[in-house]
Amino acid sequence: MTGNRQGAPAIDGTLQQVTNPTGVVRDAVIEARLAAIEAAYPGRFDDEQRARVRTNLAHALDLATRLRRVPLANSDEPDPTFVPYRATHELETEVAQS
Amino acid sequence: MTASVNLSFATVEELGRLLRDGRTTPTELAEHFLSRLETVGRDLNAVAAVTRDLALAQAAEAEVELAAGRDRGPLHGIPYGAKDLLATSGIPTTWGAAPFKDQVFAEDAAVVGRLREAGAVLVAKLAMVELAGGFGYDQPDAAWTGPGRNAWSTEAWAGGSSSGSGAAVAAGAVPFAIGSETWGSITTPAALNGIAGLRPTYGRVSRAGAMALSWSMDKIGPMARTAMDCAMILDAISEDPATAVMGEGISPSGVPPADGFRLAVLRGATDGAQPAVRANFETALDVLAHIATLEEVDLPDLPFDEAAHIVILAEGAAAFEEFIESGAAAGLTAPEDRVGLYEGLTLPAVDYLRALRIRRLGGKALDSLLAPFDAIVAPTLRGVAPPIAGTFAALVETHGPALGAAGNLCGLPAITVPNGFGDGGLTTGLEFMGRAYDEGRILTVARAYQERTDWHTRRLVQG
Repeated sequence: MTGNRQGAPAIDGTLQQVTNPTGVVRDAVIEARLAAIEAAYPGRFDDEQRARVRTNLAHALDLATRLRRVPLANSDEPDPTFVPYRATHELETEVAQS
Repeated sequence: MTASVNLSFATVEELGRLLRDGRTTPTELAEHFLSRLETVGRDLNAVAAVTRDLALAQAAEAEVELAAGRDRGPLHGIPYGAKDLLATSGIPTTWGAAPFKDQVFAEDAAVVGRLREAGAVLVAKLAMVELAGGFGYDQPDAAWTGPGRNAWSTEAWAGGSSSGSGAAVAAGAVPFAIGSETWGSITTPAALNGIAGLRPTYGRVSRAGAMALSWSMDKIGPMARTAMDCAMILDAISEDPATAVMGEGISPSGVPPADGFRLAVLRGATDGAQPAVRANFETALDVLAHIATLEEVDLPDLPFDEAAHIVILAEGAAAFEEFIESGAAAGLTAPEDRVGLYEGLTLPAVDYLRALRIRRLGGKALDSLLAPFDAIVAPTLRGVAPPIAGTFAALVETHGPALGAAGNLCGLPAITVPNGFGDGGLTTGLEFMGRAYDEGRILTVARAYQERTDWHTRRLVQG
């Protein structure tokens, strides 16, 4: 069976900083994401637009960081959950044939 | 024929009676509201397109059917407007955005089809904030149709993103409209324009043919003058008629149970609110106290706001990935929208999944909280409509919806009804939110409130 890592201590400070970035790490994540966007879309933003994208990136990162204050168990599933697809008409056909 | 009746501000119920009494006709109603749309509707920037030819054809068909005794129900022959993110066959569907001004779909959205089957008459596509506000706009002027103007003051904002739907109903340019809400886009313009707006349970109304901003948060619902009108419209557009409002055994009669309703009151709901909002809310609670027991409650201590933001960021960026990548967003009206959602493209999947996991916790916690109650009540917004000029980012923080994040993240139904006036003679709203699929219950409470107040009958002077 798969081991449950929930509640296990952080392996080191670096791991915590990746999932819960603060200070210089937070700034580095923001700048890395901005760099990725600018690399994908070179020359698309002027200075004012770049500043706004940076602000938006910081906001998104801070939102996600605040979500991490909620303790979640390994078994806490996302909602909505995946529902395997099955065409309705096939089921109806099977019912009719049975 | 109808000189003694103000058609512009009649409810759907009242118009239905006039039609069946032979005091008006579907064609007369269509002509009347087409004229209102071309005048007051245009003045408010509430109109994306007037659908005159279609409306007159549908009205003529309704006229023949009603005369022949074929009655499709309470919406038969009633004009309405659809938010311009709902696909309409052969008619432009612009999503409020200049880059999509020439977009035309081959088929109607499911909700438009249901209303056609109910005999309603489509008179207009109604203006909206570009791309339903998903790109982060922070000013009223964020639509190719211009800033949505408030029906009570053209110098105030109509709210968004269903701006035209809210203003057009309030100004008597349509008897009802269809709006959509991902986070506040029905309840906000309804409250800011002094009308009723119902956000159904997520999935209650089909999203097929509607612009997707956030697949797991988008809801489609009615905007009208009364809770009763909203109930009749929901009954017509609900995806599953077997569980529709009227079929649940919770018909919104407006009659409280023998021992009264049980209402939860959101603790601290007026913290930071404008004084008039607070006063109107307290007055509304006095009214409700005659028909309900009231108990203060707190929302579960969970980051609903943050989770809702993350879900919309991730799903919005995915829904518009090609649009963003192509650079076409540069053609949007609001400068802030032109660089919006790039942050969603770099959002880690674990952040999105964490938000969805918190949604599950929140849904369970809210359901448990609301189980003993008919509804939770709060001011819809903590302020009146902001000025048409300038930005409102700061106001959203202080005067935004009290129940909006939790209710929208977890897909719960809510209705707002007018409960008074505030600064500048602008309207305030009262929101009732219920458990999932409890539309009938919150509509009953809202109807009971409206039968004991007259805010929904207040008219514009120029009406």
